[in-house]
Amino acid sequence: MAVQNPLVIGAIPPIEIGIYQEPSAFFPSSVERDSRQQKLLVEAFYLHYDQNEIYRKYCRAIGYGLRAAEMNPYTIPVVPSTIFKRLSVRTMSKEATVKRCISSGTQGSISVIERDNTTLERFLGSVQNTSDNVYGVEDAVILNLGPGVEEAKDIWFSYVMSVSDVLYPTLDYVANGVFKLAQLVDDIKMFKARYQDVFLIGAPPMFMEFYHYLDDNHIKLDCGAQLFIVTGGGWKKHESESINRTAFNDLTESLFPGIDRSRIRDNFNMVELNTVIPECECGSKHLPVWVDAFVYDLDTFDRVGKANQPGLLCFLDASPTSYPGFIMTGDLGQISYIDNCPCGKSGKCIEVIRRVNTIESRGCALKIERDYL
Amino acid sequence: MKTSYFQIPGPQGHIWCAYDQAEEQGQESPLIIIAPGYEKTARHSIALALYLVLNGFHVLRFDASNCTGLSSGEIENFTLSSLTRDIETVVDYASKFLSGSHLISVVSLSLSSRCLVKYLARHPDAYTKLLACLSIVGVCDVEYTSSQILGANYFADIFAGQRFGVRKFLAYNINWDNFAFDAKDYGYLSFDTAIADAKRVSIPYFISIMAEQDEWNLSRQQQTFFSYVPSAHKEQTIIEGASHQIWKNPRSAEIALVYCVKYLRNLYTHPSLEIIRPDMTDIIEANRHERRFIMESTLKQYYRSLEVTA
Repeated sequence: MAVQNPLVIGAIPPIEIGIYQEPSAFFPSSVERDSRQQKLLVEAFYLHYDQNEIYRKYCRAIGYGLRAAEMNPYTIPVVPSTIFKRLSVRTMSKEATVKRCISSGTQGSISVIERDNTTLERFLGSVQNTSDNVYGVEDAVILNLGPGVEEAKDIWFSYVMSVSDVLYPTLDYVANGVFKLAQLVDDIKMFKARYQDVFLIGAPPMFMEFYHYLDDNHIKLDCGAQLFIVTGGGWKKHESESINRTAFNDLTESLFPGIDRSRIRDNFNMVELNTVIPECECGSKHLPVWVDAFVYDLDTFDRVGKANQPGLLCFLDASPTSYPGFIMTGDLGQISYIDNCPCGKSGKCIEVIRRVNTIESRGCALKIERDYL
Repeated sequence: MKTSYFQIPGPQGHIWCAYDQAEEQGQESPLIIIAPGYEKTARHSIALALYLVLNGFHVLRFDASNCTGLSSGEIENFTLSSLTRDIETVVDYASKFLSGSHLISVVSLSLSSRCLVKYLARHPDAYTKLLACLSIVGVCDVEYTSSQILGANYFADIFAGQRFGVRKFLAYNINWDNFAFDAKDYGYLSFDTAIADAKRVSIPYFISIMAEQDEWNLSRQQQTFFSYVPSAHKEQTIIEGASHQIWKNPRSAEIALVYCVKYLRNLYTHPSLEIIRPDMTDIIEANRHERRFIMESTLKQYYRSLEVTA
């Protein structure tokens, strides 16, 4: 029989091959960063420079153009995350927005990020890739120590939880402002018999409330190697009650005897960042091939890409199409490893140290906003 | 999209189904059945269903027996024969009760494509019920695909007498020995059996969507297999850069979905040429709705089993 060539009906863009199909996307080698990452960042810059009036105006004001991005994509200008609190920094038309995402607003005003289909899909892709290839999970249930999307509406953290529901069954344990602690205990016991992995996901203060409940009621939950404890979102207005990571892990271990400490993880994300930054088993937050990070030195305002130099954390995220993912955060952090994480996998890792206070902080951000935007 | 859930009795117990219709649609829309891939459930096809429903079709999705999901049996007992029996049961039911005056079309994914072809080969009169088969990343060489998944070919050892019992096959544990003997005894295992079945397909339309980076299929085999399908109208297509797990990449999925919708609209002479695409938020919402239903059903089953144990 005659064999004919099939008809090509479409092609997948390189960034989406990375996000959705590459098991090693969160562990890119230096060669991959030098080649693929740079191309992805330049392509993303083209898009936002071309189609985002505010971003283009800002780039032109500082004398930055396409050629500069092509020469060195790691110089692509970042915008302060605070800009999203007062301006609509859209790359696409308003009609393309499918989800208006807002920050929790614990520091006063809220950021608004408008996401189109592609941006939202790519975010979900980063979650899927994390679960498949960083956590190595295949069959899991997620128990969310927070409200569902119906109550939290557009708040990003809750929305992220609701999109995880596409990947794994997700149950919410806060309803009408009540944390259903007893139900959570019962469900952990039940689900560990039905799923390969049971994820408890929530902000650290929610875990602390749950841990107090377990402690007060003398409950210890032996889940063996099935449990994943995943925090996200930080302490925010509960900063005064915060405990350090080692103390948190010790407490977790005392309440969940038998848990492997490598299964206690913290993921980094913020409403302005379109990629979840997961921790490996060593507790390092690995950047995928489509994201780079650097810090701004708080004294000199210079970009620093070297490891172990604290500063204002910035991201170059090539994944969003509806807004520029080139963001200066309000977090003090540093590059912790470059291809030398103890887990043995390659890639750049970040460490988030703490939120910066308003005075030290926002020097860079305020200067950019005042002068250029 | 409104979805009703029900169970069809079958030779292996019951098959759990989700029947999707547009809110405002009449009864006469053509029906598309979606046969799930191995370890996938009806819920995994929700995006495809949403696309089809928004564009004028009714959709019947189902959970396979002896698989994950709410149909009878445990995944440990999964075999290709079992999935083929499900396809037969669902097609018979749908043609009696749901299809109206239209012939049905079936979308199959990965391993369920091999089962659909087996069903078509065994039913030379299938054209009286089915109009088209749309096979997405369809498997045609079960031995090759299984070996790719497992990292080695264990079939020779099993047929030589070695027993592996229940072991991981992708995310879940199945009985390797039963799976292997079923595939061999009922003519699924080798590429030759696929060719033999392809020659006996009697329905008029046959579409194949391949993925260029398919790690579990050999494209040359897929093309050869396709060349033997005698359907009068057939088309083989490919998505560049896509992998076998097409649903994990929304862009691959969208390309496949739009192609399927366009093809089916043309086939059933739909009055409108415009393709309506659901938003990601619609898919998330439909998924959430179905997750809740499934979780409640699962918990009910669990508590019932506790009562029985007590």
